[in-house]
Amino acid sequence: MNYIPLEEDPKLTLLGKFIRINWILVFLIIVLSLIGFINLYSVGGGSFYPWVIPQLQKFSFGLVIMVGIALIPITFWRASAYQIYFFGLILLILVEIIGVRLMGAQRWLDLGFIQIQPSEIMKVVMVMALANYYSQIDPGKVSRLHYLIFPLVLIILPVSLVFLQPDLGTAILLLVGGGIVLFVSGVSFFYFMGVFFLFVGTLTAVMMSRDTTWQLLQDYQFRRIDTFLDPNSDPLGNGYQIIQSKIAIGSGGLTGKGFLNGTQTQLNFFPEKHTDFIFPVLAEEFGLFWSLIILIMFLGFVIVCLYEAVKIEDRFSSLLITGLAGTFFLYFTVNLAMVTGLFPVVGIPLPLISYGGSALLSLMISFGFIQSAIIHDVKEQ
Amino acid sequence: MFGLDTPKLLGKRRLTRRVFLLGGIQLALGSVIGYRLVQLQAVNTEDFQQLAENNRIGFSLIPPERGLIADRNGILLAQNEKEYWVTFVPEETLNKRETLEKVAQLIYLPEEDINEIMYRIDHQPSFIPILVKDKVTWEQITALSVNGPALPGIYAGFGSVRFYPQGHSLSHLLGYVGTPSTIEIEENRGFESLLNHPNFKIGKIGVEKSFEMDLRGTPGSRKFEINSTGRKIKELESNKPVQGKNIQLTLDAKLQDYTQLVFGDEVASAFLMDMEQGDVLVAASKPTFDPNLFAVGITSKDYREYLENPYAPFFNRPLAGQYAPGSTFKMITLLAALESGLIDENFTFYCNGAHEVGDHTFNCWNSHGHGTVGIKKSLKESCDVFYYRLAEIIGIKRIAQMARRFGFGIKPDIPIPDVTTGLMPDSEWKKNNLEQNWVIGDTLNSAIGQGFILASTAQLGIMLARMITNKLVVPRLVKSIDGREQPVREWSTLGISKKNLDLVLEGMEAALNEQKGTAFESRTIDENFIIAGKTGTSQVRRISTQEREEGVKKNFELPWDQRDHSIFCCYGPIDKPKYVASVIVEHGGSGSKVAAPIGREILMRAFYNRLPPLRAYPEEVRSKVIEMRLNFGINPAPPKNKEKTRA
Repeated sequence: MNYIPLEEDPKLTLLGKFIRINWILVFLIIVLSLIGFINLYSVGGGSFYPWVIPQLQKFSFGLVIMVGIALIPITFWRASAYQIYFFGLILLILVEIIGVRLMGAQRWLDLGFIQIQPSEIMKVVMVMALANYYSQIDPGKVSRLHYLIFPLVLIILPVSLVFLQPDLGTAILLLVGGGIVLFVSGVSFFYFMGVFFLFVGTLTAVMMSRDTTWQLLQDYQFRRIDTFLDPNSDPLGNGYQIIQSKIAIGSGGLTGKGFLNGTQTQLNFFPEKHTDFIFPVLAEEFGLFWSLIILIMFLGFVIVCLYEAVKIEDRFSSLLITGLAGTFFLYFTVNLAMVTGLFPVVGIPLPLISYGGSALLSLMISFGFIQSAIIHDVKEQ
Repeated sequence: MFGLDTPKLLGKRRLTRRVFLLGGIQLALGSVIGYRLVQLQAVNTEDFQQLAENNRIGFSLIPPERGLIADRNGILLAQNEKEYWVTFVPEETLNKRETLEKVAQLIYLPEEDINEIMYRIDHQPSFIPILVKDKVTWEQITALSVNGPALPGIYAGFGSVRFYPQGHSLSHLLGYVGTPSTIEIEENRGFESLLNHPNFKIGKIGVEKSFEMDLRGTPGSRKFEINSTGRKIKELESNKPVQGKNIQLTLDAKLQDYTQLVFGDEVASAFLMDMEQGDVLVAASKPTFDPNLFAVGITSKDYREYLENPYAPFFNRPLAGQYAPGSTFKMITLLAALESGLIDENFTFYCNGAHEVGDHTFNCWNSHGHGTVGIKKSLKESCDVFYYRLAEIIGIKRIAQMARRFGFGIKPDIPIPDVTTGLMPDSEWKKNNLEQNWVIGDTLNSAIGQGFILASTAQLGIMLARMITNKLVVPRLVKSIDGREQPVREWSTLGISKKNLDLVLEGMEAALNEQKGTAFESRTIDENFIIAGKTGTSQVRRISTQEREEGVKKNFELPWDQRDHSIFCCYGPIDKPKYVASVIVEHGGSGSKVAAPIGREILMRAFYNRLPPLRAYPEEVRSKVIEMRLNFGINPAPPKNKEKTRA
């Protein structure tokens, strides 16, 4: 088998690399972030503090990280994939031991100068490790059972650790994100069908475990399921967020109530509006037109990535791009489904738009990897 | 460079297929989200806009000022006074306890109150004002305002509280206001938000209750934009409350006051009407209570004291009290007999002190007998035997019919809640209610106002007014509402022959103005104001044959509640009757000795519109009158405005 040599392609100059960056993706990233800043300004009650300026700093830092990663050859990243994965896993374990407990979940690692959320890092590096694995084995043999053991271990280790934090939402997204890489690698449909039925079975078991000694979920997670099924059953408790979020989105109408004029937003009728519930702010103040434009930009980002993944010859790069774009897709889809009441509240922020450093950083890192893969695909020349 | 079937190419082909599939799934899921957004923001947007509006808007109600109540001369009987209280907004100060302790130095605020406030501060949003103390005086408010800068978050609030300047004297008729009960809230459907307002009070009894809807007014409202925690962000709209309608009663507060004074220590009631329009000038009841205690919230100790008082101070005697009318009923029997045509004006009967019917003996109040009694003498000396005879002649049916024309057994049309119907019995009534046959003895008892007959003080006054005017007089209690004079009703004629009515009035004139008249001592001698009337002494116990043989016990020998009721109804001046009054003194003894002087006092006070001049009294009673005035603290000088009784 031929592998692309690990050495950097000598023909690629720094300027050449910049030219090869996919500028459509960069444009979408910047526009979406700008929309994010505008909304954070509104959430702050018409002020750059406390959200816009810090987020702008984080975004600038993220841009630098993205470009830095993008300029490093993809071959380097492939070679380091397992080491980075291992490092991420160590951080996840550290979180279990010395993590900071916030809002009932142990997700944060305090490194003194910065608090990081290793589960955010993990969703990038796990995809990278899986892509590395599948770029090395014979594509014809991916569905063989013993070839599945190692990637499943790669997925299940971080998923279990995140699940224990407990962070059900991220755990599920990690699982599905890994699944996407397996799917694109060509693993047989039958396995996915099997997993699907297993999932349905597990779900049944989980629901049946309620109020027994072997209860499989936390009480609050069960309540969230109840509330999801009928938000009005608990209008002042768990259902409150969903009801108020839907009111905000719905009352925005076609054209919105105008910048800084969203009554639901400005009068503080739903919580977490700078993080998980930032989309209702936008939908309320700008209306359906802009809601759909955001959605189309998100989808457009994913489609451009998939186009690049198909175009690139290198299997690692294709799998990496597909996996990272798939994770990105999952995040915004779950968030939008959540705020529109299609999916339970699982605590997933809207990528690029919600406030938050850790999520943004891992996002920019993953964009860096995508760009690196695009820049360093030199097969066509 | 690449072989056709290398695993690599195979992998790439499969990867491309899977990526397309993945892209398709992702677009499909994205479309679901897009569809959902269209559904929320385009299809159902109106519903959500309404919900957002409901979230955003808060209402607060401003209770209206209650309408005022005045007497016929414009003297305020019920008004609204400012009441002050102190509130605290915790978020405006850092050291909450310290602020409260500073307040405690200026107004009395015990430690436990501070602790309770501190507890509430910890358990509710810090922008919601907490009541620190209510019923604060104006002086205390001033002290707090002066120290305002040192007391951040401390505010003075004010509202209105009902005040009855006349105090006790009118409380039964006026009533009072209080916090609505659950039942009252249920009865007032559609007004729940007003009735549940902490500053709202509702009329509980009397005029305050029966004219509640006029007095209440219309609440104002404020529309606020509020946020999710209920904090008011800005005012959007406000409507001022509209004060309730003012009501002017026909009552004369000064006359009512005077009536209360001349009752002395008796348990008594009086009713006085101006016959021109039927205006009720006095409806007094004694003992009485302080309505101001209710307006600010009566303490359970005060309330218990009132309830345990054996003389029932809450009882509205002139309108709700029921008494056997005694001899004042004799005019009805006489009119029934005259109108029946079974006797004429020359009818006489011999009284030897008793009247035999079958094996029963019916006694006259004067056991020596009145000798030959004609119509005039029968009223003047109130001979019982004469009326026993009339009863035998005409029967109960005629008596009852005549009595009803004069308002007995019919509820007077006076717009307050607790007016009694009284009772005018006949054979049918006895059968239905007691399942007994009517006997001749019942007729004889009824003829002198004893037995089953019951009437209120007001009904006796109405009876006399109808006799004098020959019209179906209806009393009027409300002079004007909201400045609009209430229409005076046209009274239809009673249709009784003037000759017969004059005979009755002559008898009543004789009772006061001729020697041996039962109320001769209670006459007046001012030729401009000569009065007439009829006494009554209604027995509340049965006198046994044995007691009669041994000599009937005098009233002062009996326990209070077995003594006779003392009754008097009167009018004046006789040449052009204007005022009619009725007085009942519970267990007061003989009508001529107790009720009659009171009746004369209030008639004269109404006529002269000042303290009656001594020259109007017969010489032999003037010293008694002076003594009474001294005892009851009645000064010749015009009475000053009473001091406010509120603490």
